[in-house]
Amino acid sequence: MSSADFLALSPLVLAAGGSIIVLLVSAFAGKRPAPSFAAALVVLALALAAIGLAWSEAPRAVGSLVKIDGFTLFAQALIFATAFLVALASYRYMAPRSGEESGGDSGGEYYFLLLLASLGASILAAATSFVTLFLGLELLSVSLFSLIAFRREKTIGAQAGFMYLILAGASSAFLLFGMALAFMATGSLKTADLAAALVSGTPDILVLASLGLMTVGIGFKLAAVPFHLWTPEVYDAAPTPVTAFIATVSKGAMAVFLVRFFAPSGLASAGAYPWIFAAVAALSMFAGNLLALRERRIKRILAYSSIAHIGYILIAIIAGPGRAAPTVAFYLVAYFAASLGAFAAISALSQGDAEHDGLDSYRGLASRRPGLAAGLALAMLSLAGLPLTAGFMGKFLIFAAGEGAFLWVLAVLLAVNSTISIYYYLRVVSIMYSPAPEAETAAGEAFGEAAGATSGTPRPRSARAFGPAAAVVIVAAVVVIALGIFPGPLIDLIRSLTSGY
Amino acid sequence: MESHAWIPSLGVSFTLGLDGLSLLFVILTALMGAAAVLASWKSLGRKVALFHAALALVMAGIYGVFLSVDLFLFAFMWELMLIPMYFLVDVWGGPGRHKASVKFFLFSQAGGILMFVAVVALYVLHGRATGVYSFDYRVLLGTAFDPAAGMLLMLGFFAAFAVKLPVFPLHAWLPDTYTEAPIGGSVLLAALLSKTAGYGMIRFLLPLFPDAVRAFAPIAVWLGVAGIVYGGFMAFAQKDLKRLVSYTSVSHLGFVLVGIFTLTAQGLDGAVIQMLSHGLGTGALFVLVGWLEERSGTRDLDRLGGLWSMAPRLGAFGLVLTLGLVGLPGLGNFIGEFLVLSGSFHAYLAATIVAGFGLVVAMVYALRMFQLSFHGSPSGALAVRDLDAPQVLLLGVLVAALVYLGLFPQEVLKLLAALGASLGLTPGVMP
Amino acid sequence: MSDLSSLAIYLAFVLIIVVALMVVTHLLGERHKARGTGIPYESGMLPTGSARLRFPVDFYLVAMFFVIFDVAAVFLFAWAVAARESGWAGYAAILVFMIESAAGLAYIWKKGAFDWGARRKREHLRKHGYSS
Repeated sequence: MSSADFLALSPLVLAAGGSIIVLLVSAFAGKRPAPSFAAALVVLALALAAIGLAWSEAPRAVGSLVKIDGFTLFAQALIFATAFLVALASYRYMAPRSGEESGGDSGGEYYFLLLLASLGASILAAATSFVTLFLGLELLSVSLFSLIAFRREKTIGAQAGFMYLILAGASSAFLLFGMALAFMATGSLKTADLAAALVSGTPDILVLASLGLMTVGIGFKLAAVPFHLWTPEVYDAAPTPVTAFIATVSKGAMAVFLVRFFAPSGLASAGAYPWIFAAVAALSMFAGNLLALRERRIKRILAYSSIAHIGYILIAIIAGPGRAAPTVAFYLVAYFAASLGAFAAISALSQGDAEHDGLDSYRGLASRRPGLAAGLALAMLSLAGLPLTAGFMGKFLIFAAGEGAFLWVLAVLLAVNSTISIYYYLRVVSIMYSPAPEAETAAGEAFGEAAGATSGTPRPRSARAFGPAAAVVIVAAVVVIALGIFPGPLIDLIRSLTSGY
Repeated sequence: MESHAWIPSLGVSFTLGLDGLSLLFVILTALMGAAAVLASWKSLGRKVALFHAALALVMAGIYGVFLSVDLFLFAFMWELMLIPMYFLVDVWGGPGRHKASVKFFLFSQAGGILMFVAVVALYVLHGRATGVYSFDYRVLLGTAFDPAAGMLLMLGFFAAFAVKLPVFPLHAWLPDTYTEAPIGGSVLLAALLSKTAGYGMIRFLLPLFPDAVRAFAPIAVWLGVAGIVYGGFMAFAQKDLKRLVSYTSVSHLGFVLVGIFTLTAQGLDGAVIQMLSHGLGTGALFVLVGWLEERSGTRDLDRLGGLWSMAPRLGAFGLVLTLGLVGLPGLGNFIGEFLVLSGSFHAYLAATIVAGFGLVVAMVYALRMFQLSFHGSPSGALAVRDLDAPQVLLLGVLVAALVYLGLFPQEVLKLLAALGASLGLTPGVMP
Repeated sequence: MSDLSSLAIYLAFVLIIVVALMVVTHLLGERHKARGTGIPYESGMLPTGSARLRFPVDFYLVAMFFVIFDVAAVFLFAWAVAARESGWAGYAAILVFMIESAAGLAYIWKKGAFDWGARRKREHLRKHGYSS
């Protein structure tokens, strides 16, 4: 390892070292989570700043394990920035558990686990070898199931964490077996060698089996159909900021890995592979959107919607070299911003012990908390892909990529699905902007401060004040609108960063 | 012509342009937009600021549609109109507003997104063929396709326009949405949103896919005729005044479709005039019906009656606008329908005859409507204030515009003359 | 394809053995249907109370820490045999590893994971009303 290697890896090194420090802070700095929270924010900010350092060395392959290039650094920056925002959105949400019922723990480990999970995701995003793939994936998964079950006082969280543990374990086993077969067939742990073996004329049956097995592991992490069954349960039961993290970072990192695996190798246009992935994409879109139609809980709606969005992203990945990387990168930014906005708004509403999840509790939100309602509405509109939001531009790029690769059927399916999806996104918006039942009967009181106090469930004063989660909603909204109106600079940046794909 | 780079790396530019056709519709938009604001002056009750913000956003989208030269921008604006329109209906509409607004949005979105797919496909195909990746209308004009691809792309565009216009089998959202929308919303919907579709057909469908349009024209004409007759009969069967007016829109906009797809200069001129006069006339009628509902608390034709004696000014406007529905000479609709039918006469004789029959139906439903609401006596106690001065002024301006259109159609046709030539359509007999 | 055929044979044997074991035990195994068969401890002691006792998980913790630090030791041995060959880079790597292990140790220490001796138990008993 030369010093240049270290520079290239400096974001990862900082995140790794920082996570240890946060762990120690959480144990030694009192009974409040504030110090760990602050330390985690500092570490994430430093890691983000170190992306600049690493950029001076890019592109650089460190051994055959990771490749630090523009695309990687972009993904890592996105991951660290998202983790930063997730941490912000978590602070109040996770705060109540630092009281007596938690047995005097500070709860600061939450931020340690969050850091570790982002580290795993950034390794995954840079992986060019099965070793780093597995390392990143496990780091991510292990941190995630602790995070999902982090509120131990709630049975449902522990249940979901356990579910995730078992399924993640099983999918890792598939992945490992696939890697073993790949190593057996090609004698190499480089992902590129497997891809080369796949596109070369008649691939060995071992190679095919390897791809099949690895698809299970990858599909699980992406929550693509038919490996999506865990998604609604886990989304619903996990602490909301953790759900945000799963929806964005965890899936995004795997999507980046998939682009790196697929795009340069020509796998996207060889033999039956695109068909398999096209089928997965189509199934994910339809299953996600159709299942979301009947949901009455907002986190489960978002869970199904995330399945559909993975379907959209897969279309871009199948579109092949030159199109996949820039499209996926932009779409991830748009999707991350919208998802973060939505989940941060839910977190901001769910402070205290009452989880704000059922759609009915959102009725009339626009009169009670107009700012949060607007933020959530904007996030929904962006996820639906309506103009003036980042989602529209993202969808446009996917159309452009898909049709550019002559994937007409997928493009039309995407069109159909985006119409279906609008129904449930709009329902959320519509419910928020329709008057609350109490407010309608007490029409005389419907104006002024009194309406907020009488309608809906009463909440502690502190939960109503402006908090960090609300700040995240604002940041997300700004990003969504900015990208919806001026996507040009970001598209150009992404194009220059991903020129090798 | 105003042009700025927007997303240069993808060939998207922010290009607005104004020619005769756009100008007419921009004027209509300005007029009816003002009417929508004034008409809903007193009737909102809650969230007034938000209402006007949404209204302004719809207007922005509509202006954008009429002015876009860049196809991406056009599709963008096309979808932009929808969201605030959805909110207008969903938040401020009548009792069935949730269902109606979702129906409206899903129909429109399905059409819009298909058009978006087609726009991107056009961009890709043109880029592949020439190496120039651009969404600019002027660049894309004259792109050559193989017939099947051209037909599919044309249908993609047509889907969006057909939903918005609406064309007969895709009109299912219209009566509900028009009926449930608040006054300002229904004015915008009837007067302007349907015109974006006709404008889109003339501006984009005909020039971009001439061959496909020619092959598709007979079907489209018959769809238009079906809309005329169906709308007429349905209007006849309605008891709800607002619903009745909604179905007359289906009928009148059928003429627009017929006119455009006759592919003759008269047909096209007729379609444009028909759109303008429908925008003014039906827009004004929705204003009138909205006010009537505010005053009387009902739209039920069985409960209405005797309005003429109670509110003579309201009755007078009602009479003029009803005559407009019938197509009385001297009002814009007459010119529009006449030109459309004379344009279709040679190529589609049978269709012309059936459409002419539709005019008879129009006579019947219009007179029935007028009879039941303005004459006779109400079935219960009904007290209706007459219009006050500002309201008279508003309707007066709209009716004056309608009369102007009926008396001096040449002024409008002059603006359009350049257009017909540029589309390469067969020259007409009329001046 | 020979490697695959051997794999297939291996798989077949695995299946055969598993199935055979299950079938054979089923056929040859003794079966009682006496009155007391269903209860634990057939010999006559009737069970009292529930089997679900709460007991301190200290032993579990010991086992877990043993595994963790044992693995650490494995890494150390692996480095030790190649210490000269791996040079300063190897030394740096193992140093980082040791620091991380130490941090982990400090964390669990601070969290009280090692306080499972008499003192903690006394506190526990006192809290539940027993006098020592």
